Amino acid sequence: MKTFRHLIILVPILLMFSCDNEIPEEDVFDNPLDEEEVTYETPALTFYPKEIETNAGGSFSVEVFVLGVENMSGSYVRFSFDKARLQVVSVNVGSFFTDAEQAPVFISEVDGANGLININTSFLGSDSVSVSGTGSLAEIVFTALSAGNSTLSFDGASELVDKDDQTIEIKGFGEGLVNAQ
Amino acid sequence: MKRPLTVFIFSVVLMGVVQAQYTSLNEETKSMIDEGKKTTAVLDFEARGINEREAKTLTDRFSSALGKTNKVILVQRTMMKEILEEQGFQQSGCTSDECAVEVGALLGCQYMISGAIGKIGNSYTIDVKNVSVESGATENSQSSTYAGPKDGLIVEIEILAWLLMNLEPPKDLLDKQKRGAAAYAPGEKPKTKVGALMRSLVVPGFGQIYSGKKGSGFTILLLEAGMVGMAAKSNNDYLAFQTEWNTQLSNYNAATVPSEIADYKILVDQARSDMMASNDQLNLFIYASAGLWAVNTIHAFFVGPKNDDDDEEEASKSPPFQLAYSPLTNQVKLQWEIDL
Repeated sequence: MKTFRHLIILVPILLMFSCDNEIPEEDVFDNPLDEEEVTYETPALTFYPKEIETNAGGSFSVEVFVLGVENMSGSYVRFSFDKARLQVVSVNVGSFFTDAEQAPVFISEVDGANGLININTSFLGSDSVSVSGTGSLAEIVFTALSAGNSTLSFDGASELVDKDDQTIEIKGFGEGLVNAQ
Repeated sequence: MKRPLTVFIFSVVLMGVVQAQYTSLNEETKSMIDEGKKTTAVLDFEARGINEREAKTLTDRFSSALGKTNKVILVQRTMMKEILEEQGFQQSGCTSDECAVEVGALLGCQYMISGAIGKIGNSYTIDVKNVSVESGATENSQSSTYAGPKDGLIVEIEILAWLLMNLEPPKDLLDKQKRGAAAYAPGEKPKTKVGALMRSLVVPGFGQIYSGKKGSGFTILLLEAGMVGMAAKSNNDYLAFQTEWNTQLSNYNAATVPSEIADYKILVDQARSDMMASNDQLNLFIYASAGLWAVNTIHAFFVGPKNDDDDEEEASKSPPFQLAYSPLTNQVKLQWEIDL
C-alpha cells in the first residue's frame, strides 16, 4: 500500500519530465553547395554529395561542383581517387555549361593506374558566353571495389578561366568521402 | 376477576417450569445467572407517528444491542411471542407499566423493557424504560430526540440500549451517530481528509467531489482536463513541426540550386522556431497542469471531510475558561478547568 502511494505521488512528477521534447540544434546545415555554410571561400570546387555511403561492389555517382564563380567560360579539373577501392565507370558532362546558350566542349580522361581523373570543359569560339554562380561541371559514376573509406581530393592543378582566358583563382576545395561497407 | 387468577396459576406453573429448567440449564447460563445478570424481556415499542413494522424492526434492533451489552439474560422475542400467544395475550396493546409487569410475570422474567417511538414535526422521540417485574418500579429510563432521516433511528435506539444498562455506548456506535444516516449505507466507510487527498492525487477534483464539494471538484477536473488537452495539442503541434523540420532538412540537403538551398534553409529555420514555440507551450501547460494538480491535492485535504480526531483536537483547543451559572449562589461564575 505504501509503495502504491509512493508510485502515485511520482506520477505527476514523471509526467512533468517525460514530456520535455528535444529541440534540434540550430547549426544543422552542411550542404556542400551552401555558400553560407561551407568552411572555405569561393570560388571553390567541391563534390556533391560530400559523403557517400555504399556497399562493396555497388555503384554510385558523385558530381563535381563549382561554387560562387563569376563569368566562367572554361575549366580544367583534376582530382584523385583511391584506385584500390574505387573504379571509374563513366564520366558525364554536368549541367552548368549545358544549360548555357552554347553547347560546351567536354573532354574527360581517367588515369586508372594513378587514380586520377582529368576533365576539361569550355565554350568554343570568341563569343562572350560565360556562366556564373554554382553549378555541376561533371558527374562521375564509380564502382566500389572493396569495403573501406576513401577520399576524393582535388588537385591544385585545377583551373577556372573566364572568357578572356584569364585564370579565376580557386579559393577553396571540398573533399569527398566514400564509405563502402 | 377471573383473569388475575388465571395469570397467577400460569405464573406459578411458569415459575415451576423455569425452576425446573434451571436445574437443566447449561453451565454458561447458570454462570450468567450467578453473575447477577437479570432475565429481561423487551416488549414491542409503541409506534406513534411511525408504522408498526418499523417499530418492530427497531425493537428487534434494540434487543440485539441489549444482548451485546452482556448485562442481561434476554428472553428470546420469538419465545416470548409464542408464550404470550399461548396465553391469549395481545402484546400490541400493552403499553403501560402495569401491563409490562403482568407480561413479565407471565414470562417469569425479572425485568421488562418497554418503549415508545414518536414523531413530532421532523423530530423523532424515543423513550425506553426498564421496569422491575417484582416491584413494578421503573429501574431506569432513557429518552432520545433525533432529527434527520429515519435510518438514523437505528443507531439512536442501539445507543439507548447501552444507556439503559448504565453503560457507555461503544465508540463505533457514537461515531455512527456523528456521521448520521449515511453510516448505514452498505459498505460505506467514513470519509477522511487523507481519502480526499489520495483521490485528488490520482484524479484531480475527485477528492473534492468525494468530500461533497462538487462545484470545486468539477471545476478543477475541467481545468485540469483543459490543460492536459492543451498540452496534448501542443505536443501534437510539436510532432507535426518536427516532421516538417525533417522534411525541409532533407530537401535542403538534396538541393543543388543556390536559390532552393536558401529557401529550404528558411523553411528549416521556420519549422525549428515552430517546434520551439509549441514545446514552450507544451511545457507551460504541463507545469500549469502539475501545479494545479498539486494545489488541488492540498485543497482536497484542507476542504476534506472532518475526522473525529479533528473534533477532539478542536475540543482540546477550546479555552479552559467558561462562564457558568451556579444555582446555589445564584451567580454567574468564571470556571477554569485543567485536565489532570
